[in-house]
Amino acid sequence: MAALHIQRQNYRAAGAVRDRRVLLHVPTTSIFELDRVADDLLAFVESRETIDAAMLKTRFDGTHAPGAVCDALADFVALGVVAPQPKHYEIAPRAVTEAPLDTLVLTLTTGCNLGCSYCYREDLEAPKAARVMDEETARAAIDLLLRQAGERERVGVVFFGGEPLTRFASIRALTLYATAQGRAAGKRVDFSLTTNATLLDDEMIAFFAAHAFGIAVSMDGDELAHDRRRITLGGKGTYQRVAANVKRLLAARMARPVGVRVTLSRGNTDVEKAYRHLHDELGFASVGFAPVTASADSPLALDANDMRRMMDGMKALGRAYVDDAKRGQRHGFANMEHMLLDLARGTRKVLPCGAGLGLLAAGTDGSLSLCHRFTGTGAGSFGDVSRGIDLEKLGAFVVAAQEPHAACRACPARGICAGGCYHEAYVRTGDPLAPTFAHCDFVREWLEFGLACFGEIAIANPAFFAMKNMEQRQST
Amino acid sequence: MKYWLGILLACCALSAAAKDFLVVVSRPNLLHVIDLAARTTVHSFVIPGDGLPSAVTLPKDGKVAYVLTNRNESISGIDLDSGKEVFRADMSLPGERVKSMMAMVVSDDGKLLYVHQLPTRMTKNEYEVMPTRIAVYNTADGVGAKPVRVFPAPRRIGLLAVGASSDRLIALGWDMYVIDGASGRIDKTFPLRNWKRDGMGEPDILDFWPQYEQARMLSTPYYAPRTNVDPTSPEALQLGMLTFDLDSETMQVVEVANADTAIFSSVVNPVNKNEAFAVMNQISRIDLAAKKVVQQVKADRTHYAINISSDGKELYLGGATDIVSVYDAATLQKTAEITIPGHRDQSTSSLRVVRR
Amino acid sequence: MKRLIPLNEKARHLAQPSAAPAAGEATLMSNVVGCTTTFDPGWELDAFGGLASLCQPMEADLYGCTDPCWWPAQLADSMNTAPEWTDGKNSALRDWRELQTLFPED
Repeated sequence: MAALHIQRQNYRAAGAVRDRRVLLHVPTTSIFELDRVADDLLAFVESRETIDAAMLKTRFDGTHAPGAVCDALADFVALGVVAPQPKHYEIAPRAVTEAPLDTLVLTLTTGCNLGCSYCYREDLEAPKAARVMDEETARAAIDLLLRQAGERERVGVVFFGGEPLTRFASIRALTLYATAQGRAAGKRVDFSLTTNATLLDDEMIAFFAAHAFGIAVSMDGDELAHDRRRITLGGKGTYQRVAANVKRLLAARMARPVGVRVTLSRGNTDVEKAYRHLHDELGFASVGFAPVTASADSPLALDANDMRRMMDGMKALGRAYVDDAKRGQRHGFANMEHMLLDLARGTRKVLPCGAGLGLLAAGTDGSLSLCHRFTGTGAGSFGDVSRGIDLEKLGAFVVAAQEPHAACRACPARGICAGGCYHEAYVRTGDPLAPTFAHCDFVREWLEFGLACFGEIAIANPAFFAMKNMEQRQST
Repeated sequence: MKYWLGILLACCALSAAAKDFLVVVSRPNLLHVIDLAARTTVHSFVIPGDGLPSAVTLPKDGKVAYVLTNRNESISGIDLDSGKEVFRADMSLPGERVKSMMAMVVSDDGKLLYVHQLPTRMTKNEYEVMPTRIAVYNTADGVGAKPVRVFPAPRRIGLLAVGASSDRLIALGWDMYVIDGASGRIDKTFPLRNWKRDGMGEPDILDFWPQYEQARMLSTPYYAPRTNVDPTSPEALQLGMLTFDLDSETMQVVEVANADTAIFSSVVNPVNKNEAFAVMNQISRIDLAAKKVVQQVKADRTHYAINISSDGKELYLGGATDIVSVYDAATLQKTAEITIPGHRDQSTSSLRVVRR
Repeated sequence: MKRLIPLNEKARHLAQPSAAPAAGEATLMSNVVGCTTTFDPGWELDAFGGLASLCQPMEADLYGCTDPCWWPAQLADSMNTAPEWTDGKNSALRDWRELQTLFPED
């Protein structure tokens, strides 16, 4: 046997279920439980970096049977966890020759009735000064979506802003138009929107319920946390009004679960507390957290201490998720649910998200961007709702995005992260394809935590990840 | 008067000085033209593109050699004077890999090229085997030629030949077929695998060596069991010879010996069509009329392919390694050896004789 | 996999490729017009159970078998899966020592 070297870029081992680790095979996002021999062998190789037959004999003679060590070694060689030479599994970028759409985000207005201090939108204006998407442009956008949908039977329209509810009349008209056009094209159209919920009234709630809208509300926690940044243009807190509207929304019989999205910013990093309030007290079905998008020197940005607190809070909440999952119960922590879904499915991402590949966003003037976060920025457009998608430019972007950054090639989180949010990178560096290095350590830590949790649940309650149960959780 | 005519003809023959040339291919991508009288290779042309050439076919005038190359996916036509590629057909398409298992022939007038194709659709998760077919090219279409017509054809075709006219296509697979090259219709089927012969089982044939140009007689050895004898007796497996007259479209099969040696390919003597020679580790002289092997000598090495001079006096043995051996047809004694330049193996190369 | 226990679907597929969903019936790809059938030993014994009718020397037969993918189980396949295996080694008799062992790639 020649010398074999550890290939850390191809695996991550974490957790301690039954005193043994769980192994993530990075090139395929396969997950294995290590048995006693395999775990001992891996630990030994990790401690020495390079092994040969004599070293194995010295270490394991009398501890494990040679055949068992040999089998475990064969498994690791097969997976490229150890190899005689550096072993890299790269997925060659695939050319983009068509752009089938499944989701189009409509920026109905650049206007918002709030003045949240951390908002990432560069083009946000007061409602009176706002640019709005006219009906002709909006209809052209929906036509484009249905035209570009190809074989897909379901497509999604996302109403976005600014605050989309300042344009409710438009939402109503476009929903009816899209439903009718979809029916004519033999496609079902799903609708969703993200709102600050300040303008939400009973008429709107009834309409959204009737058309099975998926609704995400932006809230930051209890009154103290929420009113710190989510304020009116005049500077007043909005919690009371939002909470009252949300209670009516959640009391209505909505077709799809209503989620809430929390933006964590400096001074507001108590994940567990926000979850308790939003899930347990207000009754949101799922709660998702994201750190604010801001350049590092912004007073709103999370510093290292904030990030640490955030990560610790997310892990504590994740532990609660695991406890529920082991008992077969659903927990509303959305970040955890999404990561575990990716791990259960073995998702191997070559792109961080669907932006540009199934999802595009239309600005108020009809120009197309990668996603809603890019509309109104100077990042350039990928076509226009009336002229269509600029396939050449979009294709070039998506191909470039598939080429992993040198730092990503060696990263065990690459199959789940794939480089991170384009917009986050664009805000920080001006280049949407640059990795957001400030987040890398946290992404890896979060993945490692998720891997350990996945193993723990999968061993204690394998049915939790049965495909039908996962689908059911998503729809309830 | 007769006397003068004779002198005239002799002069013409002298001035034309037509000679036999051997045309073979070798690894990695070479086409060799061998002057048989001089026992030397006069040209070694590079076939463009990825290589591993195998089958070779030439029209009667011997001006252009058509070579199956690019790992059986392309046909390259090489001008034998200039070495330039004058014809090229790349058969595979994006998403569809097309290979040919050596079955390729150009018409005697050099205008039409027939190729038996094995297409495979390459999808993400599986390879889908598509129906086999014969594609027809106009050689005048030159480099980048596309088929002018394509028609379905049986599987397992390893040999194609052209009959009395350009549209009579002879195909050897599990049975022997005569196909109308214009319509693609199978005009005649001569059963082999499907033959019903008393006391004989199914024949087993391996042949993709086209060596029928001298006698215009396609021939191949076959093996077939006798079903009415003790299966352990030496007669239980027979070596047979199949001959097919390309002009009269008639086939003959005769068992010539108990099968105790393996034979890969054979050639019929153009001067005496009752005589055939076969080769692998031995060279055998077979009397087709008497239905027996009349002489067998050990060859100095394995050859897959055998061909014969226009006057029936010399045998050429090639294929497999880098040696072409010359044997005297009357005595089966080796008379010469020609090494492929650079010791490049001929592998599955055809061994074609052309008079120029 | 003998010592690693699959926990997600991907891992189960990886551990047991044969258990992956079947994609139609496999069809034999190439011609079988052989002197022996595809699964006969071929390289160990000749059609008569002896050695006399094996190619001589046996290297003579090597490229005739790899180039057209004749013994896809026993030999490298220059046509499809191992196109570079014989690069620069065009005389089997002289160059066979330089042919390297092939391992299945992933």
